[in-house]
Amino acid sequence: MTQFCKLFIFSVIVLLLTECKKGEDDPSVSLRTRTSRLSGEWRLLSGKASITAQGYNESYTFDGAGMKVNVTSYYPVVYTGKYMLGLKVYKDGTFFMNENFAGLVLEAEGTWNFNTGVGEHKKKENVIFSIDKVKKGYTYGSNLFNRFSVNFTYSIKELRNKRLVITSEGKFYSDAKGNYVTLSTEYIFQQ
Amino acid sequence: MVTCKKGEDDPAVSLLSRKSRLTGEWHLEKGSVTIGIKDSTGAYGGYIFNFDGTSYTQVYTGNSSRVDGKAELSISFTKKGDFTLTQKLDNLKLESSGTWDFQGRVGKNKNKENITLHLSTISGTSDDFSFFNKGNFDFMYSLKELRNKKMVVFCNEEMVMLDSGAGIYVTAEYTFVQ
Repeated sequence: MTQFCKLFIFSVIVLLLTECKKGEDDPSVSLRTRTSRLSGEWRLLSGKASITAQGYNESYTFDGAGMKVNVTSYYPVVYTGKYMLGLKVYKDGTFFMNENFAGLVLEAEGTWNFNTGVGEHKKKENVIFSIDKVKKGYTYGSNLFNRFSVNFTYSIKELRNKRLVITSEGKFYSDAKGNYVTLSTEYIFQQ
Repeated sequence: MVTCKKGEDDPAVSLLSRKSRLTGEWHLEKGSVTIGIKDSTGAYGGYIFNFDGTSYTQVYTGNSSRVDGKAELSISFTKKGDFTLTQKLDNLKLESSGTWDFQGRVGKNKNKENITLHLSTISGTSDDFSFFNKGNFDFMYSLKELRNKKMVVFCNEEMVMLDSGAGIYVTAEYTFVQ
């Protein structure tokens, strides 16, 4: 076998074993699949969220254990409180989440999957979660991570072995009069 | 060049990709929706809707009371990943648009077996669980049958709102034609 053939076969094997960058801050190349990298027990390091309606905004910052909330309305107010979020993602397509929003706990489990790359998003750029069982709390309360819904999608900004950054945005409520409320979030997790 | 069967009633082999088959304007031919309400004891009550493309019947399982009305549903998918959705139920009307994608192959799911939809714009009401979007901005369906001119989507006891004691579940099947 010529040196060229060996090099060619080696290059093909490397290409088959590696996954290329999908998210904005992903590593350029990774030897681990996106499923392998996403799987594991993730703990919130920091994050932010913003709820906006007409003339009203709640801006949240998280530090892994607590949160600071800036409310902008007629009278600006600042709140602080507990905020904790844990996420366990399993290779078999199931997940478990545990969110504590100022004492309001949502413990839920369900299934997850990647998108396939229709439209603007690259394949496996998004992760779609579906809650199918609630152990504690409720899906439509004050908890933010599930976007007040049983189905919620996050864009993966950065997916590394021990670090995960995901974002979401969009409306979560609208009424027949055309009023709506939007929520944007960014969570930084570590293992 | 061919795509193999994913859904239960898919053609065994198709020369068109799943994306190509899904793309186009679909009109409801028939459908059924059960909105189940479980209380904290597990007791189950609910509403059963049956659609025939232009009208519906709704039966409340508690006392078998029946309501009849007009209903229409159409959805249009583009290859670029956008969709528009129009649903009318009596005097309620939902006009919306958003983005769609297939789900991948993680866990038990086959690749492109399920479709996820995200609403970006909404005009009218969307807070009725009997509507195609199940009262949510993000929702999904499994593709039971996907052919050139026929599509059957379903969800089975999908929770749309739940707390640890009670919940609302939707079981639905819609048959669309082009």
